[in-house]
Amino acid sequence: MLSGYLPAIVFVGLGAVVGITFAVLNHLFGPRRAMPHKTDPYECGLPSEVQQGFRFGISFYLIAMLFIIFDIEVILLYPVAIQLKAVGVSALIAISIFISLLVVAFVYEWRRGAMEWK
Amino acid sequence: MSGGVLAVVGYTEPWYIQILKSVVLFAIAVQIVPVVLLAERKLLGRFQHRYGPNRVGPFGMAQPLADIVKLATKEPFRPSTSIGFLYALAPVISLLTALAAFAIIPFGDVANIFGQDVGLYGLDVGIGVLYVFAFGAIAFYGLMLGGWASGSKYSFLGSMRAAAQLISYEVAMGLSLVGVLMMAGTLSLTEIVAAQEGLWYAVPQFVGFAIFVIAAFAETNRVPFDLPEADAELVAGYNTEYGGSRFAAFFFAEYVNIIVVSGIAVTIFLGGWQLPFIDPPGWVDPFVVLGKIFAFVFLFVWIRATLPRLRYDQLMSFGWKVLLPLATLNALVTAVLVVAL
Amino acid sequence: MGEVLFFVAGIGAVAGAIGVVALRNPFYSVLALVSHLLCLAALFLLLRAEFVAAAQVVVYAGAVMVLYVFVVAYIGGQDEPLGPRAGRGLKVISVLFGVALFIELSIATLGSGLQLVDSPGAAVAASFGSPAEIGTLLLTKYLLVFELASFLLLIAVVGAVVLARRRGGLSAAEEQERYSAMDILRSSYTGTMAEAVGGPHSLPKKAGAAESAPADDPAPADDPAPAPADDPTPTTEPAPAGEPTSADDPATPEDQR
Repeated sequence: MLSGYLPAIVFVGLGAVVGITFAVLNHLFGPRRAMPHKTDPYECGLPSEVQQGFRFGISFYLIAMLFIIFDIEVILLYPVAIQLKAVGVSALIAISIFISLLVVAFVYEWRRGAMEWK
Repeated sequence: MSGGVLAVVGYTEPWYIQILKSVVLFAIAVQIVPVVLLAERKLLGRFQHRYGPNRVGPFGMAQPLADIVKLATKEPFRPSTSIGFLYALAPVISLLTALAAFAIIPFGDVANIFGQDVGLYGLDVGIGVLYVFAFGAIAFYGLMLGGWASGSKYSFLGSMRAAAQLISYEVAMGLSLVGVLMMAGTLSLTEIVAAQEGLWYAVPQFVGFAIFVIAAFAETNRVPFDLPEADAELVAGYNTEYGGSRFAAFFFAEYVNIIVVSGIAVTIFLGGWQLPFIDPPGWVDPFVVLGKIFAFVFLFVWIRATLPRLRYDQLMSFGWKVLLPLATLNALVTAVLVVAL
Repeated sequence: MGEVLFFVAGIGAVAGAIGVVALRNPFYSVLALVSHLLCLAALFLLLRAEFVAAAQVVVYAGAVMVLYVFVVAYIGGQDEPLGPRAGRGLKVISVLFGVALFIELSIATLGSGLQLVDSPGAAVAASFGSPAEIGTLLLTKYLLVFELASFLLLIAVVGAVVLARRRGGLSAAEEQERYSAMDILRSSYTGTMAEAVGGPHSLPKKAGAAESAPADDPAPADDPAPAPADDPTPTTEPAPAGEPTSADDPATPEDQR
């Protein structure tokens, strides 16, 4: 079965080659005219004081948390969904319970305002 | 080849054939990008009553080549605040994952080429579309690293926004496919195409299709969801500090992503290599798929020329409050219908 | 081929795991953990568990690690150390535990695991590890687990929202809002005067109506939105839910005086 994944490995390898080519192309062909201001990060107005050390809002955390939950839902639904036809009614009931519990979670989030972007 | 016959699933060639066809497919993937790039610029020009590029080569055909030469001969630079290794790595990750995802798109069934059975796809594995999602998950880090390692606040802001947008629409995208999976009963893309004989899934699964297309626009950072690059507020988003060939790598990856997502949409919803009413010989299949992909790319350009950009809070609430419930509902209704019918 | 991949992935997994604990910058730690998880996915693939491998990448590298990245962005400063330096006793104990675990694992590996290296391994069906097989198992043998997973996700949602609220993420004004079915159909802040009088925090507070005839019109009394003057306080320090209804809302008596 693993033999079916050989093209993926080839693609990743070739992709890495192309990517690295792109990454070093300028170093091979580009001119070198160093100037101190060229290495400044882009800034509009005053020079930038903050670099990576600034903080983000809690909204990102919340969105990521919701994403995990629904991502797990999707990944659990996939194998069950493809067996739905074969298994029939019992699978339908199982999926309905599974989804309705998540609908409860969804409604709760909505009501608590977790989906408002601030 | 197409129609009539069920797809040959899980067929694996000898290893040398696999490597050979992977190299050929990879070359095709890399070649499509300049074509799409040129097509977009030409079309955008026409949409805006301009000519578009028409100076380099006949009808401006060599424009992408000129662009690449120009970007390749730029001076290498990086901001003094950046983290060198990661800064260089980010575009590589983006490009690598985008190209690797291309391998899953089936351009046809197993065909007999010079006496050797060859599947006209990179790989046809049991996890099917999850393969694309897996590489999409890794692509996230290319974008995030690009923003973070640049050491510029515009880049970091852009990458954080892009990240939040990507994950918000990935859920809707994943859920929109559940209906199709229920109907097809398989994750393998060639089997899904084979199951669409007679009726493309875009018809019974029109809700899923619509959600998928909308989410696809958001996943590829295209207008009207190009918030990560909102140039009015973020300069250029996560790739603000990139220039020359590294910028080209990001740009390239973006267009590969468009092609991949178009290919997935064509495969899952628009019947892949199948055509309505006629059953062409097997060698036509790849051209059918390519034609459909280009039709989809045209839609991307058309939308870009038509719609303005959304506001960020609108974007987020649309993903969570409209697409997600709709996709869930679609999955439930499909489940009931599949079992009942 | 398989052996080469196994050693590449195995060494990568160990290196990633070491990187997570050794690197001081939380962002680097997250990246090391991502590479560790990707190597684990490759190992799963080698064990013919293709669905588990995909799930590993999509859920762990793609979702859980995204949360970690956002948390790192949320706590900001990678200049600060990750925590107080551990005491001497703690260090000794942790080293002891590490050594004990290593010995235990070594015994397990040398005792049983290595004997199987040259054997062909357990016989598995061709469909082993495929999504269809896992789907069937989830619907039959592990049905209860499947449903419980959904329940667990529900609990996780509640936990996430409660935690975010504790950190001041969701303002008190919003959680006190009452919802009707119409609110779902209507987009935010449309169809009311809320937008005109200054956004979500000063929802319609018909002070005049409440003054003249409080019993007459129950609508403003039910409306738990705090007065505009109180606005900054609940955002920074959320009051316990449900407490400041209009009856014990301090703003209302003050208005009437």
